Amino acid sequence: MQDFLDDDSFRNWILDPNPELEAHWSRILQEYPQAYAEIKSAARLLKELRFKDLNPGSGVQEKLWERIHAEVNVKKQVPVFRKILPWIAAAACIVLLLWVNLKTNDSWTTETTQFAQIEELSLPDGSQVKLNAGSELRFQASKFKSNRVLTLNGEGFFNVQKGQSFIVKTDLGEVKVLGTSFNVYSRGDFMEVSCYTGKVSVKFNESDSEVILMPGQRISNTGISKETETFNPNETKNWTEGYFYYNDAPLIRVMEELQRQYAIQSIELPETLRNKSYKGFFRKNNLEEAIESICLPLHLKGQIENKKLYIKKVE
Amino acid sequence: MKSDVQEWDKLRAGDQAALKYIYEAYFSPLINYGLRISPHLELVEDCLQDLFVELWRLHATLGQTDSVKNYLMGSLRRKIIRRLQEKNKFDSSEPQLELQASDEPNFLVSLIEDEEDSHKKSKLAKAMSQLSNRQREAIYLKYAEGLDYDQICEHMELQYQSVRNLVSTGINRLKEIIVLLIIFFIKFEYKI
Repeated sequence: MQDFLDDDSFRNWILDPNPELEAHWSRILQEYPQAYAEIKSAARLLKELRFKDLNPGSGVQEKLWERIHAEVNVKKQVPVFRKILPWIAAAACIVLLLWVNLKTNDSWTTETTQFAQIEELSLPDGSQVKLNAGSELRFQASKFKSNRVLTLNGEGFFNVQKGQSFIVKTDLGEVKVLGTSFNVYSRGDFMEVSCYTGKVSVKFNESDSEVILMPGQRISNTGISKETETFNPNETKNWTEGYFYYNDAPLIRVMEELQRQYAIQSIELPETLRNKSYKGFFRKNNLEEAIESICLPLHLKGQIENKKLYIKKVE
Repeated sequence: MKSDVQEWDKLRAGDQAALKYIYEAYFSPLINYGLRISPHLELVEDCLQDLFVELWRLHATLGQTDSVKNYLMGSLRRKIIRRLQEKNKFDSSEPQLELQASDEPNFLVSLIEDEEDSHKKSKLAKAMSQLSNRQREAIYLKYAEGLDYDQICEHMELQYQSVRNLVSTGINRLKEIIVLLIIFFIKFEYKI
């Protein structure tokens, strides 16, 4: 009898019958009729052994699930936090490094001018700079008195207090002085330095030697050739007074200056005219006059439409 | 059951819907089994909660199983027994020393009581109560939950042969009663 009771298929036949089990066990009954009594009492025992259902009901089941669900989703946040913890730590390190870096580098001061904007500023050592439109000047304010180094991209007129060397670095070279006034222009691949008072030393990146400029001397570098010329520093007006003088400059450079001074959105200049040589000046007071003073000598015509300047040949 | 093993695998992959499925599928057998180990609903509920929260938290480290039911019942049993042992340690005044010595809880087997044959049932219940705890539990697992001997061994932490002995000696005791009852019953039928 124990054999029957141990048999899962027997148990299932009695408690949870299906046609397959039914067929199996009726075949066994036919083959072993002598087992009938045994089978019957085993079946009886199984049927009697029905256990009471202690399940307290679906209310308890649902409430308990809510508890589990709540706890599962609270605990879930801990691993999420742990997952992002390394990232938070990494971010904190980067911020700290940047901060330390800024502190030790003694933060750079950057002065920039927009188009049509000219800025006059005093440097920490008392020197004056006039920054032309569309230019950028950078220096370390806290170290500046002992280390007078600036980087310039654009154009600036410097009036330097006497003292230790004063260096203006540009993409194309550097200018070193000992108390003087001078102008530095450095845009694209054209650099020009004009000395007004004192002595100025200019060293272009591609050359090993320095050039010393005396007052009234000017040196320019187009990247292809260097040129020195003289001017009268007391009589020649310059951009700081609103005058823009050119002595055989390519028209594109003049036009770009015009664009910066009058904040023109863009200039449509035919390719063939870009390197036309211009000699003359324009002023910063009236755009139409300025256009005329550039265009007339070259037999050109300038026209403003929607903040754009169109330059054409006069037919 | 194939679908249960599939849900189990989904749970291992981190699917919370599978946790709910398994909870709903096994709530009834688990609470029935738990309440037989300890009649305190609150304690059994706490253990069930622990069990499912743990399932979720450790889902990534769970192994494969061919019987989800056996795994869950075994875990629940261990949890309840651990709780009972702790409880005994903490609120034990001297009278409970005996209980502590045999850390076996009293396995409760209640059978269905039909009003008509309450006489028969009470005899059967009496026979049941004469069996040892382990016998009752083994019989319950075998006949109420349909676990096989290997599974019962695994979760009662017993040798295969001892489980077989528990079941067969238990059943033999019951059989005697049942046979008597059957005879009585048949006689009774004939009388009518």
